Amino acid sequence: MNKPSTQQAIFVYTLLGIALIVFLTPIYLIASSSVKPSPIMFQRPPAMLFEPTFEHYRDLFAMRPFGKFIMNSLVVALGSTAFSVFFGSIAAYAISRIKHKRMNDIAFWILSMRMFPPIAVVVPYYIIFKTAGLLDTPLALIIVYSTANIPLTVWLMKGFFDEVPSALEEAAAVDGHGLISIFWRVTLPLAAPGLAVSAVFCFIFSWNEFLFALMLTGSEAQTATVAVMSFWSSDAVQWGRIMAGSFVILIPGVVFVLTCQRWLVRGLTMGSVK
Amino acid sequence: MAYIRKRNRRIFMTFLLPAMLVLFLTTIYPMLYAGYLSFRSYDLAKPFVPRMFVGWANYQQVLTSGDFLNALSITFQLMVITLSIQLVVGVGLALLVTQRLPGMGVARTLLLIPMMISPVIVGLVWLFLYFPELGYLNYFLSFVGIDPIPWITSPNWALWAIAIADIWQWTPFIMMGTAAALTSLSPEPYEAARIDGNTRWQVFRHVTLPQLKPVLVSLLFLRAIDAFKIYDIIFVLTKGGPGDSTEVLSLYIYRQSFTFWQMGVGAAASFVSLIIIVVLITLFFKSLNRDQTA
Amino acid sequence: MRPFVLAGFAATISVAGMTAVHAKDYEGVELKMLAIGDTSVTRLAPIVGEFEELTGAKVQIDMFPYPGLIDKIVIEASANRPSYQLMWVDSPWVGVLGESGALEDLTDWVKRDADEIHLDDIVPIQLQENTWQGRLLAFPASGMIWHQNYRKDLYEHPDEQAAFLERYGYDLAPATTWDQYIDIAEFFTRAAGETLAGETLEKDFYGNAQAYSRVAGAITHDFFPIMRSFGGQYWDPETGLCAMDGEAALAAADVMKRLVASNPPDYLGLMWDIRTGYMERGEVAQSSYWSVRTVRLTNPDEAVLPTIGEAGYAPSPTGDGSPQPTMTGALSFGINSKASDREKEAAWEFIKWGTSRDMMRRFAEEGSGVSQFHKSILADPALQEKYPYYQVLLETQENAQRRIFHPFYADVEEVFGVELNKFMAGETETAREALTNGCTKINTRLKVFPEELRLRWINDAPAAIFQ
Repeated sequence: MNKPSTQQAIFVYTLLGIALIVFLTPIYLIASSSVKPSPIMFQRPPAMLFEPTFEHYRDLFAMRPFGKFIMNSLVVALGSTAFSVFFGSIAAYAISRIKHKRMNDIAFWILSMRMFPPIAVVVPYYIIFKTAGLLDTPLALIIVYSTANIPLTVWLMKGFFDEVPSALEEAAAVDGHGLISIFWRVTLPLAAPGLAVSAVFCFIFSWNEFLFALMLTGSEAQTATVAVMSFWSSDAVQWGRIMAGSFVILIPGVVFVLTCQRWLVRGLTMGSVK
Repeated sequence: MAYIRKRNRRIFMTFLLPAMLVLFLTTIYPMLYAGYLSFRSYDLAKPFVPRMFVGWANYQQVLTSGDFLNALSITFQLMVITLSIQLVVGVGLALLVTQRLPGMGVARTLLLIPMMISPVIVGLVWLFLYFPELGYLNYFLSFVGIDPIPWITSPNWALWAIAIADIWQWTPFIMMGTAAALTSLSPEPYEAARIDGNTRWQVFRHVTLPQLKPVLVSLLFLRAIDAFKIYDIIFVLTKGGPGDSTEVLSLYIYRQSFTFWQMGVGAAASFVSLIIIVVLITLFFKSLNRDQTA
Repeated sequence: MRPFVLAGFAATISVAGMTAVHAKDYEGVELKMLAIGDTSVTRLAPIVGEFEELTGAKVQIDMFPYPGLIDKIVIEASANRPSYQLMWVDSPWVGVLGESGALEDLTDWVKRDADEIHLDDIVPIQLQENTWQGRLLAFPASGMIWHQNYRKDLYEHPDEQAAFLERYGYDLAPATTWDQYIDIAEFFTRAAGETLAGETLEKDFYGNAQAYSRVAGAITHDFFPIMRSFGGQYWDPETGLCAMDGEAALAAADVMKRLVASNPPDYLGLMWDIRTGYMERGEVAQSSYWSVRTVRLTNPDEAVLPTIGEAGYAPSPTGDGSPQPTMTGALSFGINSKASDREKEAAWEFIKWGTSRDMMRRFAEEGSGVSQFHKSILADPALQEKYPYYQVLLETQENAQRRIFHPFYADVEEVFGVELNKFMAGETETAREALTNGCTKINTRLKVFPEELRLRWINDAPAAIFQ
């Protein structure tokens, strides 16, 4: 793609500016509510200017071992992401390359793993993990999330692998490379943006999941999302603390995405070198 | 492809099998358990309620219940609204953020933030926006002279309110996936198309879009499946209300399985909804393949 | 949970009031509590170290969100080997947990330790609230009552009093009947620009704030106390089936519908703290709700009202002004019946310690917190000075009846949440239709059980601890 002209650049920036305002206003609300004093959390009209307070952040860490819960979330999200992206993408490569009419069925079967309503399987999972002694461990959540993340990775990566021109792989084969070498040196780098995006999605899904995290963990493996929501008590939704928690747990996600951005750019340059 | 030889087949199998094995092993027991429950009367909270085999009674109860059919219809409405808007806006944003201009990486990350918030919390955040009296949205709208809108407090608006929150959260999913696909496209066809003197729209329509299609289809499938299961946002924003104007399938299943603890009915409803989504996706898939051959 | 910020603070407070001296009897016992992030728990969590000092038992409190907590408790209770020995219990859950045998019977322990726990000082209805078939299955850690809060400063303003008398023909005072409540609500509903208590309003002012949202069953929590105040019952004493479509229920639905006009316009979205928030910011004239939130009305850190006006407190109104029963609720601690004997005993020690009168007094003195349930604390003049609503809490509990405790409580809250919400939103034409629909759905589930069983489920046998 060519570099856009100045005129086009202005057009792009204007549209992006509008999109950013729309998409980030609720985020601004989280940030501003997280430093808003409780008595004026809701009022008519909404309080826009006020003296910020950091009590919600203080409470967040004082009333719960919140740091530990963030670590739990990180272990679960990174674990499930690494596992799912690795096994999901090699499986996707096989599905993309094997020309057999059964392959579509297999791909579809894998996707269907994501279709079953999770509520119906909470109890059986509880029973399994209780029996296996895995209740309240990060491993239990890694396993459950991987059953949702592997199908996601397989389907995304299949799309990316399908688009890698077969001529490149054939050329490498002619040069004497084996299949694994072709996959590793030719195909995977070209599909790097797909890997990055799969990793981001897997991470985000695992980070945000609520139902299983609530039902399968206690104090040892509780995730940050459940901990934030635990400020919803019987007499109140403790808005300030929930917003402070939401803001804090955004940070690891943003860092992870920024890290993955590098792969996206790499894919871009690879493509343009070709 | 010539390079696929016998030996490679074995390698492909070792690529494919671990994922399949993991999925099979982790889901077989829960699925069998749910299947078994769906033919039983089973109340987890009340062991004193007789637990017995009831044949197809649970399925019959689900399929003849007005609540289930109402939930199905609302789920479809929500899917159509959210998916179509997410697709258009998401692809549009992807085209913007893949321009070779400074700051695009940052913009892409910022636009992704809505996805990084747990849907339950998204529900709470949008409550801030939606309250007719206390909320920010009507306050902002009042500056441009728009009368207060009863976002979550009117049966006519609530579904749209939920759709907007869902679109806000998941448009970045389409954007991110599409942007990644755009960056991995090979540039040759573009240059050819440019040289042929096509307009931008023609290039997009005839060169970019066909190349994007496999990824877009995957993204759309994944979104459709998740939209079919939408739950957390509604649970917080309206819990199906006002009245039953935002009752979706997952809420129905949740209420049967947990609140009422009729786990057999919940399991039966889960299988019915699984069949519906499988049929839907298959039909969609078939029609896409027909397009391809045509 | 490790002691955090409050630990140092707590250490400076004398523990001299603690009963007896527990030798470290429970050295090595580890207890886990499946709980919520509620004031009934959060004040205790940072000081569990003190309990370990006393008894040697380690206590770990896990806090989970209210939505989903009962689901987690039920799943936990269905497991053979418990992960949690202690459970936080909302009093309406006592029926389902009691009938399924999930909770340990505390009756004998309570009798044994009656002096130690000052049994005769506890408001009796708060104990009754936690019984199932006469057996005490949980112990109150916070005792609630549903009562009315109002703007005392406005009610006492001479201009308002005169205007009210002229318009309605009787004196402006806290409502004792729902008709008065509706009059007052109508009277105080004013648009921006009008005058209120001699000052021009900058924004709209509303007569009352009641909850109409379906989220977390909020609408039913206002509907049922109103129904009770008309003398309504949940169940038909003859058949054990749903009676929530009777005259009292219709009257209650009618009251709520009539209050819509003077409610903030987002009434269908009002739940919990969003509703109490209107009262706490002083934007409505009156609002009736559970007393767990009342404490905020005097605390400027949590509410705006103390800085702009003054809150008054009164029993909730009734249908005809006679002292009809109001409603209680309790947030309580129970013991998992599947825990080991030693764990159960240690857990009982913990409950005694965490809900003791000294502990409750300490919470009251430290500042806002739990809703009290000891008569001597509620009657304490110094504390009454600090918490003016204590007197109302004390008096109204005399007349109070307990909340619904039926094993199918969750069904009732869910079904009536939907049906009432539909009626308020105008989707259902009449209250009768809405309530009949609700009862039909509940009865469908109940009719499979023999009448004998149904009647046992609605039988509120007096707590055996007093026998």
